[in-house]
Amino acid sequence: MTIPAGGPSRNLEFIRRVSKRPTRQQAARAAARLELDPIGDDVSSAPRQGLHGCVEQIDARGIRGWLLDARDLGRELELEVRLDGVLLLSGTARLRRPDLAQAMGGRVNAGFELRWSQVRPSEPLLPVHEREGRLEVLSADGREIPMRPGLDVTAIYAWVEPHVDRLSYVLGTSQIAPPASLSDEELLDIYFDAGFYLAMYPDVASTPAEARKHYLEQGCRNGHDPHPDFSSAYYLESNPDVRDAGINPFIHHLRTGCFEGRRPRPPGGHRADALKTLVPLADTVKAWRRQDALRALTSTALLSRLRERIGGVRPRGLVLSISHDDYTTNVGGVQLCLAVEQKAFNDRGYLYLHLSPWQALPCLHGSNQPMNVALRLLCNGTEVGYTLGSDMQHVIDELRDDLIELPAHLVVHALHGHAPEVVSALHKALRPTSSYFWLHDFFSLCTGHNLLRNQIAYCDAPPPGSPACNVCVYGPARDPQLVRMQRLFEDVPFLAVSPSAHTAQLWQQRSALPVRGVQVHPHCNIEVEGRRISSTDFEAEVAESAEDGEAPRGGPIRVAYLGHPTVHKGWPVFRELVRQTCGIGRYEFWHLGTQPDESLPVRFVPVQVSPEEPDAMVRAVEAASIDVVVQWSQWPETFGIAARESVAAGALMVVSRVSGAVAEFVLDAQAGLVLEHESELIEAFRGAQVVQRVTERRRHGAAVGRLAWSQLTADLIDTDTE
Amino acid sequence: MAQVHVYTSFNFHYLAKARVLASTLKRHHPDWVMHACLVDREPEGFEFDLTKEPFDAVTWADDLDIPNLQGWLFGHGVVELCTAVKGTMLRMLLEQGAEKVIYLDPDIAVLDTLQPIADALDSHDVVITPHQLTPDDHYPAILDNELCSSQYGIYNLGFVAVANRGDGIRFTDWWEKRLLGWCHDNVPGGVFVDQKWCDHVPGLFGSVLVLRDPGCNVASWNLSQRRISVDGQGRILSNGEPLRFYHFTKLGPIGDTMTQRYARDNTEVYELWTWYRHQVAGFLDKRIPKDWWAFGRYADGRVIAPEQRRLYRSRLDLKRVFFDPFGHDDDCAFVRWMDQQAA
Repeated sequence: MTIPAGGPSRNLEFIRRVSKRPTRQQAARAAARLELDPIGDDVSSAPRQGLHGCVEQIDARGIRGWLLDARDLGRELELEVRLDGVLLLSGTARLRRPDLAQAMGGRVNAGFELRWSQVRPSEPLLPVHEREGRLEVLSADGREIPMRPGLDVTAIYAWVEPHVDRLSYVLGTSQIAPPASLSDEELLDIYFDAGFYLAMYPDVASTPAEARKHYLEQGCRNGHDPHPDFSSAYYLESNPDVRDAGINPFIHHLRTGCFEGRRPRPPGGHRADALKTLVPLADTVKAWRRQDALRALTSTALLSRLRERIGGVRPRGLVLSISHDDYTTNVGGVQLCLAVEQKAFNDRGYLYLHLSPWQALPCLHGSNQPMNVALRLLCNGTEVGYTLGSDMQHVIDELRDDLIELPAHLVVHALHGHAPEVVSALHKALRPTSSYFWLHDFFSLCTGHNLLRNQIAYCDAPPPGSPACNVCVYGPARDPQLVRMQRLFEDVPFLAVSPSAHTAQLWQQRSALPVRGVQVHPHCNIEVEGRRISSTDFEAEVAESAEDGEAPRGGPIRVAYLGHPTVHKGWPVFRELVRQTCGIGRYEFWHLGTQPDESLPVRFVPVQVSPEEPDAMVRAVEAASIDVVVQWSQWPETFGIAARESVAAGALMVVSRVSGAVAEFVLDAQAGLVLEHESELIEAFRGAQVVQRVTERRRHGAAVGRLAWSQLTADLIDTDTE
Repeated sequence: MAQVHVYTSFNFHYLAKARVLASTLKRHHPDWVMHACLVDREPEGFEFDLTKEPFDAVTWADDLDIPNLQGWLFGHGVVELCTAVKGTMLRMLLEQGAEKVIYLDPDIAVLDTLQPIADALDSHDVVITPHQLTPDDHYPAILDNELCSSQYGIYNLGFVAVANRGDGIRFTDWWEKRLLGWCHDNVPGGVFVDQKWCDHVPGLFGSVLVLRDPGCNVASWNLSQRRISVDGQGRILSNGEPLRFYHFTKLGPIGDTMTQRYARDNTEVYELWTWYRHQVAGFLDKRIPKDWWAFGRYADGRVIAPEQRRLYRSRLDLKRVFFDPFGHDDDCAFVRWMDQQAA
């Protein structure tokens, strides 16, 4: 699919909005607009139209009743439970009710049973002195479902409170102190998360009582945390008075600290953490500077070596490819693409030359003396030597004269460390049949190639010189970079090649660079080979037990992060997910890739994908029977090799909405969940969403396959009509 | 169009920050005139070269049009002095013909156009910003913010804008007189340098705009009620309005604590602080000794104690005898007199 540059814009909606329930006010307004009748509780009387329902039972366990639409019995209605206006529970009325079926003359799935154990209030319950005792069970449009006469809800707070996650209120927000009469042990009894402690620190204790004891006596001093939302180390560091007095930080926070505004964890989470180590771009460049000396060849010497390397075999064509590093020794997605492309061209008999900068940089090579950029030349994957940009131009020029009748192609994969002026000069020397510019990232829009302002917040490439750019570490570099890019794109008639439709659209919306067209060419596809069937036989009850939050049949759900632990791929979010859910006992966390983190209860499997073993990750994910892969990318990925590896191995994907082509792929392939906020991610794992999906997969078996790679630019040169 | 003059007052300890203020102002208003009121003298080995600075003009404390200047300078600590000069400097700028004058603290950075403020001076003679625009609802915030303002001044005098007419002139005249006599750090006594005095402003003067713009003078004392965000067009917003200037008070651990306490998970605030830290570091001049302040020591090098300043300023007889209590011109007569008193 080629989208001509400057052609009619297509309004392609790649990401469906996660639908949200209307607020109570919205629902009430909707009801008022439609002038709906109140919900009647008696279905035996005629005429029967509209909604009918009844709350039949409220007790310490939960709340039961039924709700149906008499005009459409198949419709499963949603409802919510509010206490003093605070949303406690929401659910769907879909349990079978044979008693109603008789009255309605048809199959009725209208029963609901919501348990207080599922309570997740949207905000704190009112303090004791402000409580009204107002319990409402409402349909989605805000109408009250009538209660059976005689229901006694005076004990409602006693039923609900034990299940309310009190700690999230106490920690930093509550204004109600626990009674002073409670001892430290009793306080811990209420607030200490034993499941979390035992999962995080498996060697120190084996029972909740032991865990509490350990924390009180040693754990708090060793930096052990009593709850996922509390950091002992941070609390002691930011409250030297507590530290100096030798008080247990958690107890201090519960008793007084939270009412004094002392935070239980570093505010701002992983983003604020990342900012602490952020340095100006100039400092990063300085840190990257090589101290060793460059052994540059003259153009004559390099050319002679190159001719020697080519030997007597006349190639069928010539490719000059440019990227930011040596793809034969470095590991990564772009490097893998280059290796695949080189092999594809070599198989066609083409000579594949590659240039990377001797000095790696997070930005372009300086504009002061651009032709002095030192470049490394590879020929068909083996090193030939180094020389300066001006000399390389001469080498290419001479080589082209040797091979003048052959087709030649210029392929730019990445420009970090390069001087665009040199690329223009090389284009002139190469005289290519066609030129390509791959959109592996957004370096052509900004030096910050992930479009992460200050490396933490997705910026969506705002207009250059905007106030946001002015406070970003990449701001000062962006304007001059865009000027140099513009000149390069004016000199070279590039076809922009995007690995995904999402990236193509985003790039076209944000870029003013002239191109002769934009082509979408995915790196790989999944070829389905079969289904991954679990050995256990399942029955319908499995789905229901999953709703209760119990562990599903077939063992704990295996949740994995793939690859190198980086901020932009969502490693800190994965860490937080582990923290928040490891105590539930339902999940087992894995990390398949590089650089294990010893501080987390995560099983590590070293995996490295290379051109020799392109399916290494797929096989590793399959071998570990991973159920779910979480890729919470912070930026719009341009393709998502890891996502395809996961799906090829039969795993469910859980990804962020902002993950670009990854979210696009997950939605198109119906391969998992695309969620908006980190809080939704945690909730999906705490609640039933992930469990239900995994259980279904285990029951039916997930499709597995292998990745079938494209040949990158080698595929394009045949069909390109420049 | 009326030319706008902006001034700030600082000593060399705050030079890097003042440079951030000036350069960010110039980015948005290259045609406005940026004045530095330097409450200091150059240390040895350092020359303040205006041609290399983002300021357009400099007025030294020694050049201020104040009677018995040296004695007056001596009677103030560093915070007191840097604020006390603001009234005189404002008056001098208006006398030179500036039609609109804006004062900004040296630890402020300008992030968007201030044109609406200049425009407000077309219809109002004085513009001030309160510390808080919205009541707080949590106990610690009420203590930190509202109660603090009750003690230190309702309006934050890190910003004030004045038009050269009517109440603008009257305000300047009044403010200068108060600062010449009572620019002291005496919170229990109801005086906090230049700022607490300005609680009077809406009462004493008619053409005053209390600027209720959440994008102006954002700082840790109102962060509890302001959310900083960035929109798709790259505009930085405070409660949905353009963030015009941010007041980075107490750069360092205390500032960090207060910021974290109220910014919480609003990471855009931490981005601003990180950016500011980098900017200040970039403007730091290593030639200036760390604790340098020309008015902090006697001519013999001894540190001037706060109680010595307070003694001097409260005694008319001492002021009449010792015109230069620093001791440069009279061989440290004042400090020798105090040594005698102590003996």
